[in-house]
Amino acid sequence: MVKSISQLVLLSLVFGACVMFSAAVSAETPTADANAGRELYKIAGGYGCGVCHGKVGDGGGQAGGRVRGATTELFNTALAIQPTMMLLVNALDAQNRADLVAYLESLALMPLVTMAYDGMAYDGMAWTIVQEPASKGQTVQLLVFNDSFEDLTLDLSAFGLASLVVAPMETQVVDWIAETGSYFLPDDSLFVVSEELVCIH
Amino acid sequence: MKALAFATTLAFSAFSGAALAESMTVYKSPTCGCCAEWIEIMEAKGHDIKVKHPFNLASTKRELGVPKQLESCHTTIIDGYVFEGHIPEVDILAFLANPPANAMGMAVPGMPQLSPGMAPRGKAYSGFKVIGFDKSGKFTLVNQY
Repeated sequence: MVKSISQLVLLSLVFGACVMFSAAVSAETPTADANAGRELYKIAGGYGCGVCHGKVGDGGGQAGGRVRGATTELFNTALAIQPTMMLLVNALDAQNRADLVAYLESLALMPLVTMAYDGMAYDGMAWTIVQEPASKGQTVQLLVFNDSFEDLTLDLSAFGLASLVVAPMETQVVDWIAETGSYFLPDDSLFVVSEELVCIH
Repeated sequence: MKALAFATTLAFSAFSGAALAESMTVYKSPTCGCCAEWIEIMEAKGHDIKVKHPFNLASTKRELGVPKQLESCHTTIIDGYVFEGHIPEVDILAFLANPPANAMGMAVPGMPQLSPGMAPRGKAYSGFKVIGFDKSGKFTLVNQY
């Protein structure tokens, strides 16, 4: 009986050590989930990352700036030294951080075309367009920001997409699988999709 | 007329800031540092601030009537009006001195780098709009920095 109790205690200790070791390993090497990171991006800190970094890590003209493609090292550095980010240290565990970085890395694989409409600018200056090079088959993110107080309807039929209605001060993002060709953007500039793979970062 | 009311508010504020002190309730996340900076600025001006950390800040904003596209980090309630984000004190006082008909409140969307609570102390505010919103969902430009 004594022997069996000793064996039980020993077994428990070994099992406990295994659990602790396993937890330590998983804490060090969480499996990153970009989809979980995307959802966390919307709500982290209670207000979401987008308030400071734009809807899809584009910066959105906000204080936090662009974070598409941010690495784990950059993310952890921000958590260590950037005053606003430092307060999030205890709110984001290792899994959360890995998921967020995976999401930001996934964004960097998608060329971004930013189209900002300023309702108070002169007609010829109403659009500010920033485009990244894209190649056939890539998922391109078309981001539209309506910086006006009226609904904005944007014809995206050239892209094979339905028209987009963007509410006042709203930002919308549409994913588009790029086809080779040239596409007119709202400011009459051309967005060229090449056949060959291009590197955007 | 609006400009006169605004100027009157400014002049009155300069001579008797304490008399204009408002009671404010700020809804924020406990992890928000720039919210705390904005609160410090308001407290330094003599305003009485009550801070709340709701479990779900996003749904609280919906309940308070903050338009989704005007969201920032913190939401402030004064006299039943909603003030979203890093709004300069002077704009809040001008609004309260002469609230527009049907108004719900004002917002500075996002986190502009040179807004109160974001900008280094003493640095001029710049690069953002103060936007009014009313009960019909209409937006108007109140001020631009």
